[in-house]
Amino acid sequence: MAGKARVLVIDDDADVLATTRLFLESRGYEVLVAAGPEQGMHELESGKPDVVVLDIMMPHSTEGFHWLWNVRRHTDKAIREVPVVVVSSIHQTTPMRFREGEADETGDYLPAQAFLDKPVDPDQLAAKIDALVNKTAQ
Amino acid sequence: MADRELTQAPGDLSLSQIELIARIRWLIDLRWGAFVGVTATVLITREVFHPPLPWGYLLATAFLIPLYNLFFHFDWQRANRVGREHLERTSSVLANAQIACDLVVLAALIHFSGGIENVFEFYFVFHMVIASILLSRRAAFGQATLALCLFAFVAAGEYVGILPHYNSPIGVRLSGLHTNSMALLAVLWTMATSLYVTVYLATSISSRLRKREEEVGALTRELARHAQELEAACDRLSELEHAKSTYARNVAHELRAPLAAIDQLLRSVTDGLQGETSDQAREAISRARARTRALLSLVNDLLSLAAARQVRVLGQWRNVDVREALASVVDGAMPSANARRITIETHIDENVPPIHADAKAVTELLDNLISNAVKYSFDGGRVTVRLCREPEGILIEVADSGIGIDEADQEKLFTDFYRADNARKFTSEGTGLGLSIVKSIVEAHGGTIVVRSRKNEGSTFAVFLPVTHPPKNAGGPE
Repeated sequence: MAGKARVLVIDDDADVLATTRLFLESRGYEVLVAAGPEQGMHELESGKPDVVVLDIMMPHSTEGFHWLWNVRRHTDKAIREVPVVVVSSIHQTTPMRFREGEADETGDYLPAQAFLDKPVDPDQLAAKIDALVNKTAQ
Repeated sequence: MADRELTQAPGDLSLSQIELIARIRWLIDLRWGAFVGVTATVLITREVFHPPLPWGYLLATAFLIPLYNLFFHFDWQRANRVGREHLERTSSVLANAQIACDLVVLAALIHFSGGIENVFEFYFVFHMVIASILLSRRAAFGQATLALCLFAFVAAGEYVGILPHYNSPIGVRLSGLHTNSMALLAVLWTMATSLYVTVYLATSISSRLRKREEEVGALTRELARHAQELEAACDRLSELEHAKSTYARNVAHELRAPLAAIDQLLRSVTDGLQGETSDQAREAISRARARTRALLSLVNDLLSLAAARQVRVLGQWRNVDVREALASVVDGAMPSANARRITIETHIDENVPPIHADAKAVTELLDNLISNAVKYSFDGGRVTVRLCREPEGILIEVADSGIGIDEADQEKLFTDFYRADNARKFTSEGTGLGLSIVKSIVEAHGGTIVVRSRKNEGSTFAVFLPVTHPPKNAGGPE
């Protein structure tokens, strides 16, 4: 199952998007890509991915945050509960707190299931995706 | 009462005006006491000594005091109600009028109780002291002249017989003194010199004091102005710190994002995902990737350093359990330690209290110390981390069995970008910013850091952090 999982990657950086796609496809995942939040929502609703890999800082600064909160408020339960791996090049010294497994409406913690710093290590990303897919399958 | 009214006086009056306005009120209050004193003295003298004095005149004069004092009392209240300009204009007239009335009443009382034979004549002197303190030097000399004229009028009037003379009721009888021309001249001369010398001395002292007061007032106003400027500068500094933080965050993204993209692109080539490449090209790309990662480390360290230097003002201060932070940092360091067979040993005192700190900064501090210890340890070595309680804080000790630091290098260790020669030779990894970051974080938390090291025998970094250390802008722990 893990190797065949369908992953949606959302990133406004075309190079990152292309290379992440290559990394994941070379490891056997089926990859959907979106270059921005709107396209990302469309792909999420139509493609029904198992996991989303989301860049948090997109053109309008913190668009990824809003996108994620919109997903968590979606009317479709399957979409609302899709596991999300946040990838970001925001440095750890910024006031934003990324912590796995914790989320609240104050925005202090993001409602995501995993976090990775950019540049993404493909093996680490694959491990996170597999863990989330397996967890959902259980 | 006087103070309350003084505070109602507008702020831009001069100190001497403020003093005058306050003292006029004081003089009015004092006069009620004077009336009681004079009346009591007259009545007691009459009842005890029964001297032949015009008691009716004496008491009538004494009762003039509350009458004109009532007038001054209401006039003062009206002046206060009307406002600053009126108060400024009338305060000096009011003070002069009050003292003049007092002098007239005193002269009358003296006349009705013995004239120049009355020893109370020297009460004119303390009126001169009051006049010298409250009025200008010119007005005080004017009051002295009025006092002298009134006294001379009484003395001369009694001497020539225009005014009747009443013998002094005091024990030592000086009857007939008022008709003795030499005695008259001597008393007038003594009175004149006493009054003028008193006014001269008192005005000299009070004008000097007034000048000092004006100087102190000017300095106080200057100080208040500087305090205001300082407050504005502080606000501006806070704004700048905030702007700097936002700038740093933007730089973080703007620099790290392209570097991350470059790294991913290069990795896709070295992983063979972009088609076949020659070994030589792959080698060159691997080196380019290593340089990219070094640059990323540098950007990270520069941002960490900027954050460490702002933590005192911009940190998220709360109670932090250092044991938790330490456990997570040690976990994070394990992969690189295991890869080189380095053992990380921890000794954690379970009684370590939480400290008031910025959690991210504390993690950053521990991460730098422990990753440095692993980085500069020999393969198969040992890193020992101790966390224990101290009387007013906690002590973190990170010891390694690594390359050590030459004594000459130890004092430069916390300088930005400084790396000791043996450290450079041992590994090319490192930006020379790690210990600068550590020192900034320790200082922001009011702590201290000590290094004990000998070359080739390992190093120990000991950090003391106090339990409470209020940051500059915080109201207290959350």
